[in-house]
Amino acid sequence: MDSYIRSLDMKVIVRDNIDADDFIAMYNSGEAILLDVRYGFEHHVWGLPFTCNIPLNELPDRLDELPKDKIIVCACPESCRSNIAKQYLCVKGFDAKILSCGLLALMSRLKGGKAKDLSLE
Amino acid sequence: MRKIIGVFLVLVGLLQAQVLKEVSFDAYLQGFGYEERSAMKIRTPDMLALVEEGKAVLVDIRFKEEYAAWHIAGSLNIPLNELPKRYQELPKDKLIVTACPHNDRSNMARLYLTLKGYKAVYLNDGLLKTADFLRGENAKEYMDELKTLKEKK
Repeated sequence: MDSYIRSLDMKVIVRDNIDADDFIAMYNSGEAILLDVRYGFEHHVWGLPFTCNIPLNELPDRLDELPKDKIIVCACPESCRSNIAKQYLCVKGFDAKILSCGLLALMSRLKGGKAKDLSLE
Repeated sequence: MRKIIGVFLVLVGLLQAQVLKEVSFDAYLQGFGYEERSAMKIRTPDMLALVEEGKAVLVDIRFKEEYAAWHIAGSLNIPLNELPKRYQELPKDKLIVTACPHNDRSNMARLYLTLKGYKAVYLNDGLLKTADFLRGENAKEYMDELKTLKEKK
């Protein structure tokens, strides 16, 4: 944890904050997945079906469900829980980033014809 | 005797199948007062309460790609441009709440359904606000109520 925190210079912090457009590009090219760290019932009420849902408190027990060769973009409605998830995953050796705009802004971005910008099979 | 009962049942069935009365656009506008101005919309907490009670149906009128990207559990998807072809799928005995991310398209959908005789309102604060509202405890309560509603059916 200490060495991870020391590594966080301004460049890293900026680089690890992903907005909606960055995410859509990374997802379409297959280099990233979206991890929804809300509780299961929250994900059921409304969720983006293409996301992986692992609640923050289950993350330590379910790390093996995450791909090691992809960027894990952590997300929650804003960026409170996703921030914690990102720190945890980075400490565990994953390449993790934060959807800093939050799920709500990503959903807003996928409005009207722009929903087609995201390539879902 | 059997025939008579059959005819009787058919008649009862016909009476129960509610016939909606279409309203002309002109007549609707002429009758548009302050009351209708506030009665035509609903906000997220009130909408969720009615859906939980089974008194209202949430109709998401976004395009199917938008619905595929994310949607609220328990909602129906009829894209705005498919409404003329599909509006009869909607229950006549429930309040129809039309919804889109904000309220521009839902307003159009509500007007259309109202002219077709439905009791319809649009979600004034939009689906993004609904999603924002349905976090943590609120999400849990809504899911529990939806489950109870399904079991009742």
